Amino acid sequence: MSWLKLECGLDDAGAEQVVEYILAGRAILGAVPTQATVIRRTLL
Amino acid sequence: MDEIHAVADDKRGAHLALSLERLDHLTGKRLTRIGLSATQKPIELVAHFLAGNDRPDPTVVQIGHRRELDLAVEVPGGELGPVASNEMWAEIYDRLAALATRHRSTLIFVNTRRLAERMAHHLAERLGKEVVAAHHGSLSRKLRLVAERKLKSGELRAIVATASLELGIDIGAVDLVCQIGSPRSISVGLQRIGRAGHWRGAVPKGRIFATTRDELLECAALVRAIRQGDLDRIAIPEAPLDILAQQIVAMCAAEDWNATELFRAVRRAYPYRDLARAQFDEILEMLSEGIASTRGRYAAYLHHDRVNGIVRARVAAVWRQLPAAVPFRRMRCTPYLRSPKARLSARLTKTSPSKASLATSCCWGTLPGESGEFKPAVFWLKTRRARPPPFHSGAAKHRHGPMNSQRTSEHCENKSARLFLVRSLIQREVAARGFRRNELAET
Repeated sequence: MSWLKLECGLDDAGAEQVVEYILAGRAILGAVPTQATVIRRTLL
Repeated sequence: MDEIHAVADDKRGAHLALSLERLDHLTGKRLTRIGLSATQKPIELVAHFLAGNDRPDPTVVQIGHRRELDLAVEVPGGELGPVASNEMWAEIYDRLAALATRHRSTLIFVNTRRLAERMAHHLAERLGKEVVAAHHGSLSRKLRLVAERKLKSGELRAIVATASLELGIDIGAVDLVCQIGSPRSISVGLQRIGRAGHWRGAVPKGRIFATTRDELLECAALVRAIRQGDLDRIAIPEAPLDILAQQIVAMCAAEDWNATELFRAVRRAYPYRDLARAQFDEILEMLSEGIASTRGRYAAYLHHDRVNGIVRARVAAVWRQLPAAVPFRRMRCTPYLRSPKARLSARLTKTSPSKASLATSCCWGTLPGESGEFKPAVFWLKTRRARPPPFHSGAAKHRHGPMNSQRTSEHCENKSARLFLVRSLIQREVAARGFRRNELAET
């Protein structure tokens, strides 16, 4: 959180939401999508 | 040439490079080229682009000056979601209005023309009609000039703009730049925020507003990239053939060419340095033989005398090269190669058939037009009218590569939702038009 605030110009609420969003994504998807990790979801 | 970086990375740059070689050919001299560019990575590539191929490398004068920036991401009070709600927009307008009253004049960048108009309207309600203006490429020149003049003289508290105010224009005493949503690339972000604080000793102040969760990540990555001095890597498109075909027709319309000399002239332009003769010959063949269709051959603009190796323009090409306007930015275009009945045609973006319909106004270079007959994936431009084109499709850009390496990522769910939306739009459109299945496959 302090790294995010220092490096990315975020305030408390912003940093908190970034962390929450990534954690929520990881909980659902099982991993965090990155340049090296592609998560595919089949449609329909 | 000012602001080369703005055109070097798309097809307009290829158009420009060929035009410069044509200019040299016309004057019979090697004109001195001086280019100005924003800091780019790598700057040598921009230099080569400027110089062309058979000239010595240009001298690069790099000031190498990095400005201090006062940057921060603004997050609305409520929790961000996949899309911004009306309450959230209201909150953003309030915050912008509050920031604007605390500064002398505020420049607000948005990504689409539609949003520029909406935002200007809402801010005018909060700050007063006289002190807020919108500025984008679809507004008439007169309106834009009025807005620019008012901004310079300090009559405006806030101006909402798209990329139209990004370059060039001296914009006076702007002391705060707000960016709504992600600017999608580092250089655009840097350029936009750099519009603030244009006086000695001033520190440009930029506030980036995140409206969705995905944008929040992108904005955070952008701020980090800028603080680390990371820049977008410029990518010059390799030999775009549509532009080449367009320019060959124009060149031959001006005078007769020997095919080999024409090839050499074209290769002097940087994007075409590796153009193979075989490929060039194919283009010549297409332009001289025309394109076969069910109605016979069309689009044969050149006459290629293979015995003497001379390329001449047919009558159709001579007048057709006159309105050879600058190609669209980041839009698929097949410049007048497939035009029926001596009219200009423009190929719109892939998703357009679902959004645009008959009589949608659009713009060909600087000439406004109206879409006529619909053929799969192609709208034929019907008329050219003197009214402003309100066709704003495809105004916002995709995210640029290097920003991805800042560990941002789009949420998968979001993407498939968008895909689903596009699909259902197309399906609805298909139902409305009564297309047959195979026609859809062609689009």
